[in-house]
Amino acid sequence: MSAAGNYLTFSLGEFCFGIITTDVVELNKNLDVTLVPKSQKILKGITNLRGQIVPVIDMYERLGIMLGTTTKQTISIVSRCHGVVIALLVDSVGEIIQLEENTFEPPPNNFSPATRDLILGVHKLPEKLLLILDNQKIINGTGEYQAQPFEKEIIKGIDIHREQKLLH
Amino acid sequence: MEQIDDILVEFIIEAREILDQLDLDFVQLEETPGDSKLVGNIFRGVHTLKGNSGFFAFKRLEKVSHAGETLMMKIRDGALSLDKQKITSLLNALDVLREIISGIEINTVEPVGDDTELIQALLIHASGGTPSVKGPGDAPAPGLAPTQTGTTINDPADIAEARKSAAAGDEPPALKVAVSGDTTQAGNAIESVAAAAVKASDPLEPALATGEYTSAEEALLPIEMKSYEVAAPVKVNMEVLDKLINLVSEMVLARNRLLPFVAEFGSHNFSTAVRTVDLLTQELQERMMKTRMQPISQIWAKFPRLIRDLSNECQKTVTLIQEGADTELDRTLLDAIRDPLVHIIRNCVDHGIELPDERVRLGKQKTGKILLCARHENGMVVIEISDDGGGINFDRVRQKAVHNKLVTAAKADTLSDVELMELIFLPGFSTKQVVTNLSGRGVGMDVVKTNVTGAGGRIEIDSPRGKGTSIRLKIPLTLAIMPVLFVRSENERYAIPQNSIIETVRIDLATDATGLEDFYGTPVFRLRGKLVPVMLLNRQLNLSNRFPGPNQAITIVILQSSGTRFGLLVDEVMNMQEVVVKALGPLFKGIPDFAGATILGDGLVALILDPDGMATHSGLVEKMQSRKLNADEAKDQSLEETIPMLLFALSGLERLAIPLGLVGRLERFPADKVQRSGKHEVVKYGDGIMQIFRPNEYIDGADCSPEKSDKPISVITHYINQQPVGLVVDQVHDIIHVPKNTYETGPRQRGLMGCVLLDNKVINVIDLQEILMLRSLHDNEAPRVSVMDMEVVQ
Repeated sequence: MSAAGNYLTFSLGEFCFGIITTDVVELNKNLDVTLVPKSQKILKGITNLRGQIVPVIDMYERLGIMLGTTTKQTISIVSRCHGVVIALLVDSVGEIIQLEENTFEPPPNNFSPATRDLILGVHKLPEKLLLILDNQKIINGTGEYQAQPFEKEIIKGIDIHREQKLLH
Repeated sequence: MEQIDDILVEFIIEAREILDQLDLDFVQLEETPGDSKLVGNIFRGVHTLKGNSGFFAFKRLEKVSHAGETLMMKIRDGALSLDKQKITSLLNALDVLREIISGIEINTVEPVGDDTELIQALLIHASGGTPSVKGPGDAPAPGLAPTQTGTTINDPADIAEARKSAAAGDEPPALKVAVSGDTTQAGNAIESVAAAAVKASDPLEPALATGEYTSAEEALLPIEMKSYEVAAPVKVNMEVLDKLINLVSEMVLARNRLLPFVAEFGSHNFSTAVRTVDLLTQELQERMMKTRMQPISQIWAKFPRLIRDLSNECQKTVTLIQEGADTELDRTLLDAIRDPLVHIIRNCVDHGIELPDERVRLGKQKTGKILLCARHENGMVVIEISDDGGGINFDRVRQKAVHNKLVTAAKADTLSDVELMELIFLPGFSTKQVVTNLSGRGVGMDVVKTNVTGAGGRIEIDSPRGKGTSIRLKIPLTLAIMPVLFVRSENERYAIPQNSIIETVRIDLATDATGLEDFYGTPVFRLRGKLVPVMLLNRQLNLSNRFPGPNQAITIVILQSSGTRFGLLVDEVMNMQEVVVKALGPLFKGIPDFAGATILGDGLVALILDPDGMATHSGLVEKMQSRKLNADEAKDQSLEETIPMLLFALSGLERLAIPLGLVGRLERFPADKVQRSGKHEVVKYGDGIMQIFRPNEYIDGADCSPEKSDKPISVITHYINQQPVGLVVDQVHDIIHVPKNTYETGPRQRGLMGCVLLDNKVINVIDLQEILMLRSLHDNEAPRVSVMDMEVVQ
């Protein structure tokens, strides 16, 4: 996979991340999130996106970043991940920037395995480093989330399971 | 690569359609053998299939369909006539084609298999011969072969056919055609006779006698026309439809937000515009919901073939009459009722309809009738399947129920037909004496019931003895919309499906005598004298750990799920509403507590609870099932007049009784054998250790001051999960038989269940559960205990 392309930048506390724009559907502010008890920690809850129920991912939890004082988590990046629409809860969104291959470097070895799996690499920007997220792995993470049974289902797509659950 | 796949997918879809249509056509052709239009249709279908498979170089498909085509061509040209045998061979060919296509769908290549025998049979038919179907070993269609011998005597058409097949072997073709002409005539003759019979006498279905069933052709023709119409409309991907429906419901919500502004601004032009939007949205929503609806004929289309095969296998003759095939219902529901319908029809043919001889003896027409009827009624779809067979054999049901130990023999005799009918739905129940490959395995009506109730529907059975059975399935029009009750727990709103709610109860703990009681770790409360376990919604969902205080008023929603009844303690009952159900998606799949989610008028999402999932997940079902068994025992005993009890004495209370069923053994131990384990008194009992205790302090009125004496102690042992516990009593008197119902004198007393009268003397019956519970509360430990319910009469 080429590292060049258009990236949407967003921030979580002091960290700056990029996500490839082809996966991004839209941005929302102040979505009303309904908590889902007993769900995984990375799932903040569900929200209504024009009639579609969309899971909301707490990116602090997902990336294992400690919650800082500046945490606002008011912006949702709605993106598509293995055919499932998900909303990523972040602090703020920056501009969309075009990046070239030559500024890209693979993730350093001292990242934790869970994080390294999620981060494709780093783009060296003039003033800061931009961590590039692999959007497709956000809900399909390996490592600590592997035990969850949902992962296999995602690939098959949700539509098969729609409403079927209600029948049983 | 992608393109080839697309073409292949299209080929498979088309092939399936052709095969389904061919099924229908063949079965109909059997009824109306002379219909040259049908023969033409079949020929074209087979031909198209052959052509398409040639394009993909599917050799097996091509060979089988070629053989079928060869035979069909002869028939179309009038060189041969179609008879039952040929149709059976052709239908077999269709089955093989279907199998091959399923194989292709999975692997994109043809599955390996040997069709030589089948092709041989088809070609022999085509060349005018008769393959040795009647030979016991080498029949190309095993299972269907016996039909030929079985029905020959009864059916004139078959006699003619047999004559013809006999002739076919050694007569020149010219003569054979003549004979086959004869068959057609014979067939027509029978139909008119049958029709006349229907006209003349049919007490069960007068409607049929008047018009619809004047001839087989007329009865079946509309169905054929319909099925052509179904194939015609444009195919739309379900996903696209679902999205459209989503958008429309979102638009309805947006409209709802718009409406309040009309009052606020009061501009006439503005309000007119809003009204127009309002009307259009409503219309759009109604139309959109319709797109999900599909005619029930979609699943019925397979039934003529099914019945044909089944009746051949059972050696019965059965006709299927369909009414209201254009009744529409939600696609998802259609899927849910497909299997139940197949099962019921199978039952009708296999159990319901009698053998032709038997029917003649009973004065019925030889041909059995199954009526499939669908209609809309009070916002529900009612599907009725009735047959004119023997009805449910209630005596057999009764025998079988006793045999399977579902009820006692004495009780079985008192059960009414309606009560016996309930037994049919129990898992593993079958009245069929011999297991056939059609039915009798006992996995049947319970599955039907599960599927139908799962779809939010109901089943009603009506089976007058000897007059046939009529089964009505009542299914809601759509699954997507469901009435729910909203409740609040902490700050969250949750929806409970209305069909699982029995009632809601409000209890003021300050004034209620019993309130919430602790029953070995599970809170319970008394609902009209019966214990109902309570689940705290806030704890169940890990919202908080709050437990209602002693002087609080609490709200409990009584739910029925998986055969158990339990209460759900919520903070507030809000409103009832019809909501659109949405799936939660795969990320939340592992959570059993939720059935889905819904979007409220304010745009927020509320979760819909799944009472079944909650009950099962929390272990309530398991606990309740062990209780239920005991409750049933108690019920049985209540039928008898007395129950045996053990009469004993404690200091202070001379006449106490304990139900004998709770007593394991009576023992006497020397006082010096009693030892201590922590704060408990124990004795060596068998190879183990038994805890013993003095129940005095848990029973009101008993003298609590422990007497120290060296006399041997009398102990009543009781088993909790195979663990013995001993009650130390002063003296054991006797076994007595007392009325089952106890009397409660005044307010409930601790440790006592009530009292009974024997020889004008009052005997107090102890409440062992309560005593054990009090004791375990006392010890801060909660062993699980089997329970026996007793009914209390005030």
